[in-house]
Amino acid sequence: MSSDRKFSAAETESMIRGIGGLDRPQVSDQNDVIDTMMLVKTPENISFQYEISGPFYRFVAYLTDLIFAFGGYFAAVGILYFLLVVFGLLIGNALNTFTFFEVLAGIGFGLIMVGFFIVYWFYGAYMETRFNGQTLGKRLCGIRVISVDGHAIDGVQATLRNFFRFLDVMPIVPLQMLLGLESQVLFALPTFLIGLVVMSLNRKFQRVGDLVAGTVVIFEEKKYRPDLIEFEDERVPRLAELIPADFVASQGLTQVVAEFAEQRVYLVPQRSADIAKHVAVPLMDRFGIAADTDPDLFMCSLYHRLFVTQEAGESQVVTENGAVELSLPVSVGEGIER
Amino acid sequence: MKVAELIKLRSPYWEELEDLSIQMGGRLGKADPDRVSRFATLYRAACADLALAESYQLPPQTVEYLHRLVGRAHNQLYRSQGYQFNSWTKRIFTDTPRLIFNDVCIQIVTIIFWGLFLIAAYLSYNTTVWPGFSEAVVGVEGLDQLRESYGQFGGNRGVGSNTFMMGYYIHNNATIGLQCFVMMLLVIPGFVVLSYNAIYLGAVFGVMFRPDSGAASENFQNFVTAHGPFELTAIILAAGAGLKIGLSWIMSDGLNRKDSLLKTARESLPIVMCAVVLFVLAAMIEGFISPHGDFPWWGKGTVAVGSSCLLMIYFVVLGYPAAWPGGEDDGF
Repeated sequence: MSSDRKFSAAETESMIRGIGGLDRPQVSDQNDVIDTMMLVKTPENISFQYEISGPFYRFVAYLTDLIFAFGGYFAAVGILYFLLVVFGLLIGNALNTFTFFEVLAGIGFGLIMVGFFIVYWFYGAYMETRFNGQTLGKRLCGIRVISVDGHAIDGVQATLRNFFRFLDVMPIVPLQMLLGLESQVLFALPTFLIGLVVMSLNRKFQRVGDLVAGTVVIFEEKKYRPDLIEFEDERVPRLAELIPADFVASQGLTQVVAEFAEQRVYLVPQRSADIAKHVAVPLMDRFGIAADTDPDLFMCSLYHRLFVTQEAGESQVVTENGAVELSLPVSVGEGIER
Repeated sequence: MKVAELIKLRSPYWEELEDLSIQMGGRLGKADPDRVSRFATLYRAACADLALAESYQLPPQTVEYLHRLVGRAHNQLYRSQGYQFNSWTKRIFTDTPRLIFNDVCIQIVTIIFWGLFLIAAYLSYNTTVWPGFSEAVVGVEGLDQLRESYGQFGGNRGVGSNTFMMGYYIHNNATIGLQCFVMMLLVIPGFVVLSYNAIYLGAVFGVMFRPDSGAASENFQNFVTAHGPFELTAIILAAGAGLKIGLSWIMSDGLNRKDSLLKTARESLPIVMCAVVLFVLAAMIEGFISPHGDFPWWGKGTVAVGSSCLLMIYFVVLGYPAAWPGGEDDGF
């Protein structure tokens, strides 16, 4: 590296703040989204990933919310209307006057209008603030709104992102225009086009409201916990014994072996052998295992050896409060030879 | 220790954490302290497991499971802050009026709105400068309808229909205001909505103040006087708050566009909420005082002057900055 090399802003900053090295990749706002996973750093200084929810899942949640909010609203209106008719007319009859009913009806319909306004503009804001980023529909769909920095959203963010939904559902097409009807009643059909286009233009699937409020919608459903794979074939442990006891796999190799073992059930034997041989053949060669051994079988044995029979760490102690203290296993960089 | 044994050893803790996350669901604050503390301990342990997953050489699927587990528990532990009501007094009576008083966007919108309004009013009042202006804006049918509805205006409505109309005005006007606010994010559509409203309203006022409008003219003036100040100010505030956000991502003032947008949106929300409150107040006046035929005109005038004074006190007296620029209100 020449001495007059120009440093990028991120590198300079990292040097000033004393974090990271020149050659370490910097986690910045631009590259913290890989596929649909978003990286979040907690106050405990742990990085973990969220899976970002796409538009169609969110649409289902939104529809559920619409049905719930306006279903509930119209049910309330129905009950109010019923009470109004019964009591208004009964008492009106008793007092022998119609004015009482008229007054009640006016107040009732006034409340209905105000209620519609409140439900339309503030339902999502209230629910997301009260229930930690989830409306009923989002809860049913297993998604949640969080801040882009990984924190829970606050009331201001919830209100903003719900106000700007009005822009996301644009353009609104009058239904009679589509159907060619000459009706006076205006049925409008929101097309959600602006929201969809904006979502597809950024990596976190943020609609306009999300961009304005700085929020992102993530998946949060229960994920099943995978157990280690156990192989039925009894050749696997026998072949595993042939791997030298002093062999220590690098992190990269360990990951490759685990990925392979998890994915191989989806492949036909010929294909999985094809994929396995790139890693398996050089290793078998080194361990002195017969070259005509099935590479696929060898990879399974390596998996067995790495995860089931090999000692991973020296002294992990689980303390009484459930935390773990350990000394790290030392891994020698014994990568895959190429 | 072998990886298989490690996973077997840790699984009960992971599962316990998962169960606690589900059970606590919406109400961590109301759970009993022992469980909250247990939850926090398990969360820290899971964080540690995740952080050390690479050194443990856990298989990728288990790591992915841990990501989900930690993410879920994280969302239970760090919860939404809600609206912090105790800081509202300062926000409503100190921060917001100062923000509004100093805001260039609101001043721009005020000038545009009133400018277009007055020009349109003059053009439709004075029939010689631009003959047929009001007909072009409002439409011949619309003008007839206006004259008709204000012609037979008078009489008193009951409490019931007044409340109904108040509900209608809140729903209708506040929705228009919020829509204008939201459309302003894209600036041009927002200006179209704002200008259309200003010109339309101006044209209606101009026509109605013409001497040839007869009884309708008098009734119209009688109707609009009382709630005018609140309603027109509310429209301007909503549009101004929207323009602030719209300009923030176009002229980002040294910040990156996204950050500038986030920062300004946060600032603008109190202004638009102020507009909503004004719409509600205007709707109350419009529902109960404006349509009253018996209510003397000077009474309505007093309401208008009173509400203008209130606005003045709020924007100017409360809003006048303590010191130029920045000053003690910056919290330093």
